[in-house]
Amino acid sequence: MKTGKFGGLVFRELYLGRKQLLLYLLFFLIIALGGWLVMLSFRYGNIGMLLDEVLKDSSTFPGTDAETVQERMRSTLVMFMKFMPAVMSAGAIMTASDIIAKDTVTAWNRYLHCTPVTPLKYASVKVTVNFIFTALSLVMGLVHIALISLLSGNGMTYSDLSAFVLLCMLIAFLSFIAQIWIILLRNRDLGMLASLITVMVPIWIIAWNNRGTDDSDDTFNTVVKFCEELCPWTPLIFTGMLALLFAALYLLYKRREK
Amino acid sequence: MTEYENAVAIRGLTKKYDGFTLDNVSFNVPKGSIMGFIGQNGAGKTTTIRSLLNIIKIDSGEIKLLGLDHIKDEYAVKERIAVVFDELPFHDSFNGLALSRMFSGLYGAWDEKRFFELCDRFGLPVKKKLSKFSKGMKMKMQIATALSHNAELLIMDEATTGLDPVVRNEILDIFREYLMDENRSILMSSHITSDLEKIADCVTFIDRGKILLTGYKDDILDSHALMKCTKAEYADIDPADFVSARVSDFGAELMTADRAAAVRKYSGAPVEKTTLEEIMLFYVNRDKKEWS
Repeated sequence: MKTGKFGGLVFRELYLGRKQLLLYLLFFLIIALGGWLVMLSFRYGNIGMLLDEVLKDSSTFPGTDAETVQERMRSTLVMFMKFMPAVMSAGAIMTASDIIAKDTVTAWNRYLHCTPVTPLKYASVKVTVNFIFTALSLVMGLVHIALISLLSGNGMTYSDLSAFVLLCMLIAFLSFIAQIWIILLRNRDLGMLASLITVMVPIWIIAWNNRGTDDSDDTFNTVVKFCEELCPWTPLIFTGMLALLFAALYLLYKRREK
Repeated sequence: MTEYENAVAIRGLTKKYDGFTLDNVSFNVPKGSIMGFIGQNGAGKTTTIRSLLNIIKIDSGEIKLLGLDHIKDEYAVKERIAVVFDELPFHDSFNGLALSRMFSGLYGAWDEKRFFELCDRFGLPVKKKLSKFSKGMKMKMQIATALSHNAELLIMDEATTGLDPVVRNEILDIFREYLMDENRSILMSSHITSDLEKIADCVTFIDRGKILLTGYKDDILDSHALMKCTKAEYADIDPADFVSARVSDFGAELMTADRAAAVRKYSGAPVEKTTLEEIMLFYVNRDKKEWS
């Protein structure tokens, strides 16, 4: 028996997610452009001139020379330019959960049960689409970070790379959990809330266990170190996450209504 | 391919919910026919259709679609059937072109050419988004998708509900044309009995989860009749001889399920032909026996 084309089903998912993807791309471009404008203004325009004026007055930043202040502001700006658009591109991973929410609104899963598409095939389609969105976000974000690092003359560091890759993994995890919850609860808002709680609870527990530790620099360094250590394992972690998503979606699509 | 006599064969279908039971439902949809599945809202039509599509798990019973088991051969059967719901199951952002590409992923036998021909015939612009379509156009689009993969069985759940009479008539014409091929069959649930009166070959009537009548429409209409009499005459009629009676100040109307026997027994009373709607109405009130 001839079965439907896999590509046709992938097309459906991409078609439903295209607006969300374009929106994230637009945010990415706007923030990147905004960052560039601030940077240019800092170097050659009003922000730079204003800063020069302020820094002439030695009482503004007592104990710190103008060059150090300028350098710190520049590095903050570069950091913002590097990561804000990249975070936007990482947000595109959430498109898959938005598609599942649209499926819920149109009772698509019920219709799917009337077609010859098996749960195995449809779970494969969903996992493929999740992989595409994550890969797209990763590539877009990493290219941006690399480009900014190169243009700012510092080059891309392993810390930059690992922090972004881990951020993408965290968002992918949130997206996967959201997809499962939305299907289970058949409601986008409740599903998103449930997935946020699922992700936040472990973070609250960790925060509670580390209460009293108030050194934010130390915490930042710990997080960076943690990302660097975990980064080589991310392909394995991501494969595991996709496998779990596949199993969960397979069971959810196989399930029948009561 | 399996040879079959009945496109749908349901035996002893039972499904229990809190406060509602689909109770031992059995009926057939003969190959090449159109079956009207009637009953008031909440009678069990949708539950029966969802059961035979394996959308919901059944408690007991046997269901065969196109001669195959509805669970064991589920995916082979579903390649050969098409389903139309009362609500569009596609997102509003789709247009005809995108739908066609999506459907090529759902059905191996998807016929894009046929789909565009149908869209053209139904006056559906394929580049226009579904969000811009009227309810009638959305329904026609759903029917166009259902008729474009050479399905042998079309199952419709309240597909004509909420549509104006002109669109409903257009849709009924489409179904007549679809049935020109004698290998094709339709199971159509509706509470708009006038549509089914026009098009159905067979009728199954469900009420409170139980099948009350099933068979050829003409046989059902021939065997049932409406007897009219005065209140005094009504008092002399044996309650076992009628389904229920509509009593007013002017007299009584009684629905009999055996026209020939009624004519013989009550020769003085005028006996009139009835409609599916009236049959439904009198059966729904069968427990009260007398209503107004």
